[in-house]
Amino acid sequence: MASRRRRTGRRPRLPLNTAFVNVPYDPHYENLFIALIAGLSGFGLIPHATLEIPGSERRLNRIMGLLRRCRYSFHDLSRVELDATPPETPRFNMPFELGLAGALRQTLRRRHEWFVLEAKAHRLGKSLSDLGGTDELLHGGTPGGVLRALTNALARSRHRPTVAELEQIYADLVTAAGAIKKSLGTDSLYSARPFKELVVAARISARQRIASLGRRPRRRRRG
Amino acid sequence: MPAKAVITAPVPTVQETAREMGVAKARVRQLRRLMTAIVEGRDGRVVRFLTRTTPAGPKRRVAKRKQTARS
Repeated sequence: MASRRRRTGRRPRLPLNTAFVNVPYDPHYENLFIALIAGLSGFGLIPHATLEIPGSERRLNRIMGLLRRCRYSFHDLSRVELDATPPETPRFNMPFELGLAGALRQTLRRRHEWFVLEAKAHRLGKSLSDLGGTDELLHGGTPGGVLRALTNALARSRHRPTVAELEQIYADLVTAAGAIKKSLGTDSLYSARPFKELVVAARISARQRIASLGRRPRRRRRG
Repeated sequence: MPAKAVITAPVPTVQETAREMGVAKARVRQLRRLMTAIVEGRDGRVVRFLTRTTPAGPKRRVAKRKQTARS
C-alpha cells in the first residue's frame, strides 16, 4: 500500500539549472575545465561532476545519480587518443558516460539534454559513428573555443552573456583557481573541495561581470 | 543533441549555488572577498583573502574578552 502510494505520489521537483560535466581529469585539460565552469556559470547553470561525491559509493552509481539530477550534460570526447603509459589504452569513460546520458534521455520522463564537445572536426564521426548526424561543439582545444561553443549551444531570453563577458569570468577564475589551490594546499582542481569552491567563485564572478545581472529592476512610477 | 537549448530557469544566487554545492557560509564570504578583489583588479596577493579569518565583530570581541578574563 505504502509503495503504491509512493508510486502515485508527486515526484520531487528537480532543479532545472544543473549541468553534468563529463571531462578528462588530466592536468593538461585544467584550463578547458575552468573555461567550462566559467561558461556554464555565465549561462546561469550550476556545474556538477563525479569528483564532488564521496568515494564510498560505487562509481557507476554516483555517475547515474548525478546524471539523473542534472537537466543538461556536457561530454568532452576530445581526449580519445591512446595514453603514453604502457599498455597504451584509449579512455572509454567519457563515451561510456555519454551513452548513459543518451539512455537516460530515452527512458526518463524528465527532459535531459546532452551535448558533445570535440577538439577536431569530423573526428566524432570516426570515433563514434553511432552519433552520426549529431553536430558536435568544436572547441579546438582552447578555453576561448569552449566559451564560443557554449554560446552556440545555449541561449537565454534574459541575462544572455556575451563571449567577452564569459572571457572575463574565465580570466577571474584562472586567478581564483590559483588562490584556491594554494589555500587548500593542493596542486589539482580535480577533487571535491576545490571544484565546489571554484563553482561558487564562478557564480560570484558571473554576478559581477554580466552587466544585466548587476542591474536592478526598474521601479514603476506611480501616478 | 538539440541544436540550441534555451535556458528558462532563473540565474541562481550565490547562496543558492553554495547550498547546492555544500560550501560553508564563512567560506563563501572569503570567496566573495577574493572575487571582488580580482574583479576590481587589486589581486596582488589574493591568497590572503582565503586564509585570513574574518575580523571579530563587537559582540564576539566582548565575549572573547570575558572568556580571557575568566581564565
